[in-house]
Amino acid sequence: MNRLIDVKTGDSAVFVSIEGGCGVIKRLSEMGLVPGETIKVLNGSGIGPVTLFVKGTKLVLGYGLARKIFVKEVLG
Amino acid sequence: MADNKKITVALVGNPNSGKSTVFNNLTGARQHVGNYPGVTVEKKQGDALYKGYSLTVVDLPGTYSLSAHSEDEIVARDFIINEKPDVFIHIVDSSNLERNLYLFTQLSELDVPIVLAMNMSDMAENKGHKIDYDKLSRLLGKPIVPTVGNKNKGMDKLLDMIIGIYEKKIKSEKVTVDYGLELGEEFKKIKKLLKGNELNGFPVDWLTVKLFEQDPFALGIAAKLPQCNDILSQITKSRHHLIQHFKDDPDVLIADRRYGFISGAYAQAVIHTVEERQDFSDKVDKIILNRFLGLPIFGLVMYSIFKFTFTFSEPLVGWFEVLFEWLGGVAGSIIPEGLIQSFVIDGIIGGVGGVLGFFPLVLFMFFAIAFFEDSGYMARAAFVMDRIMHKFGLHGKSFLPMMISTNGCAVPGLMAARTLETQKDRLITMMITPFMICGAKLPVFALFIGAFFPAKHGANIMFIMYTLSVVIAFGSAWILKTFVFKGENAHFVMELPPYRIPALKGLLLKMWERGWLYLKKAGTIILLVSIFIWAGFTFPQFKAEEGIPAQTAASMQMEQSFAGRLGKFFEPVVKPIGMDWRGGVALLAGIAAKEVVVSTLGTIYSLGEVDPEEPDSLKEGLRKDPLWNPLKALAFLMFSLIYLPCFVAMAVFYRESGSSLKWLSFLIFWTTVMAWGASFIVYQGGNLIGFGG
Repeated sequence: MNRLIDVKTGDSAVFVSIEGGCGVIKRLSEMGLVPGETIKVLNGSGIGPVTLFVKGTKLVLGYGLARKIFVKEVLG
Repeated sequence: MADNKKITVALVGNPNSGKSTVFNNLTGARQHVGNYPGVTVEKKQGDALYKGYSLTVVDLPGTYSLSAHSEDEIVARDFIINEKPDVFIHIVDSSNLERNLYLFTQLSELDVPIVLAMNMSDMAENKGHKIDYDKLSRLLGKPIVPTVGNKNKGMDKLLDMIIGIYEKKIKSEKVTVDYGLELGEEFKKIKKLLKGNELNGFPVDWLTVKLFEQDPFALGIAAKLPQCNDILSQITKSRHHLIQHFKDDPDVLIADRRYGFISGAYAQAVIHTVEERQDFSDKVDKIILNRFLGLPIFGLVMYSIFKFTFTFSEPLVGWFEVLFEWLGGVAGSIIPEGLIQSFVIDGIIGGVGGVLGFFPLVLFMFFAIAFFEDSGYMARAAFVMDRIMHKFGLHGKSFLPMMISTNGCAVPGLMAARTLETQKDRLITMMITPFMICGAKLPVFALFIGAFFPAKHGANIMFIMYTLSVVIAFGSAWILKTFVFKGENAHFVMELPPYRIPALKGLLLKMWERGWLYLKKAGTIILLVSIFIWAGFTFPQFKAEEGIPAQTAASMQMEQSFAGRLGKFFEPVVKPIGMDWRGGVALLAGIAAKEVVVSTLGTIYSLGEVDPEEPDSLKEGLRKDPLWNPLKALAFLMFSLIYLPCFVAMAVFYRESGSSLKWLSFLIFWTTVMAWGASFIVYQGGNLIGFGG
């Protein structure tokens, strides 16, 4: 399992889980970040916010939030 | 037509689905903007006449779901649930169907009449998405109208559909998500307990799902039922059971099933004819969100908003000034000298002039902001600065109000806080915005620095003042975040809208709406307060004896007016910070407008009219006065940097904080305490180390 912030720009990954309260989990799931969902990292600078492609739109996650997200199978 | 049948229509949809454009098309200029009571969310409502019907259209804040995570979403949710409009138009971005339909699954459960407006249908086509509208309409059980908001396409059909649904000629069928066996079983158990109750008119299916999600609103309804204890324990049991079974959060399961339902419908009704490619927005984002370029671009945009606001509004502000001066002159020649003349010129004309003087600023700023909002940049700007601002409990967008206020004006600055999403962010930002050095504080600083410090130190002292204003603002934000607005910071997740060329009509409407709001809401308060301030300095009237020069008479009038007496009364409070009553009165007058500090001191020193821009005689007067010295001047500067914003800013703060006396009192308390504390440290500290003269 990797952390989302370690995924390189342009790579895809599968969403696994998030460390956080129920509110955040629900919020993210409603935005389409459910376990098993494939996401593409459009901009993962490693220090700032992370831009993702999920369910047909771009999402931005603040660094603090992105740090708590775990993903797997980073495909090339 | 008085016998028009009335229909209330609510526009719902995700942020960035083009809701406002459709709203503007449907209602044209017949719009009223206000605020929802007690909150800072804008309420937009408009009227339309169509085929003998009079429609009231409400544009609800954009929302992703009915779970209500932010203040905007709570407003939208409450309206949807409580106001029960006749027809809903769910506006969907056709090029992003999957995400946009998530809200639909929840609306559909509410079993309300819905028309789906598939907006931006042209963009979907350009992207190579072929949508079979008939099939999708059958799958979702709702009538569908393809629309293109920015080209005004599909609006008549949309109106026809609204009336059709209202007259029950067109059906809006209820289609529910299949939540699967396990969830379904648990729902049944909850539903059984709800049976036989009057559920405030809500469909039992909807309430069941909401209860299972432990939605506070639904729990509130359940709490009033006789079986409420059973229901609550059943919810806990059901959730626990599912966690055991799926090893996953039950809320995630629900979201998963809803997205599953959407994917099913999507796969059947939409064909992708072109492979998804990197589009224009992606390329632009590579630059704008670049780790090195992002910050300078952000700075440039912010600066251009500032420049645009103050440069272009300047001639207008100038014209207003000339106009009101002329009006004052006319009034002076018609009305005989005396109280009434003074009331009309200084009280009324001065007050109205004060209100209108800020109006061009507000208009131009909102035009510039609307441009960057509608183009898609503002959504990005928010997180370029996010990491730094976050540490202080601020938001990336908090930067804009602070920037507008620095050397500019806190009035449009406070209003710029509207661009922030949550109440907490808005309040913290508004609380610190007045600390910035606005244009009106500059003449005060210039006067005291010029009078007491050698010219070569002037720039240094100004630099220290600017630095200090930022330090105090950020420090206050940190304190507010840590002690006043406790609780978790909103997690920063949002959708990035694609870049678009803003429509001029939309920009102008947005500018006018928000500008009008300023005039209507703040304007009346400002006028009243300016009359009140005028009275404070005019009464009780001082009877000058024959032969006393007019300037001395003015000075004596000032001294024994209510304001002067108030200043004297407060002398013991300002003594420890190196001021006598005159400083106190000048600062009191500064609440009218900061530059008034200068002219008030001029009156007190019997100098007659002192032009704040050219106060040479006053500098001389202050320098010669044995009661002043450089240390006292510094303490005075410190106080005027930090203390209360002018009352125009306070009026705007009051309105923008949701007409909250609580927050206004807090602002007054906070700024006063901070100002007094800082001046005290400077003055007493300076005396201790022997700087006092």
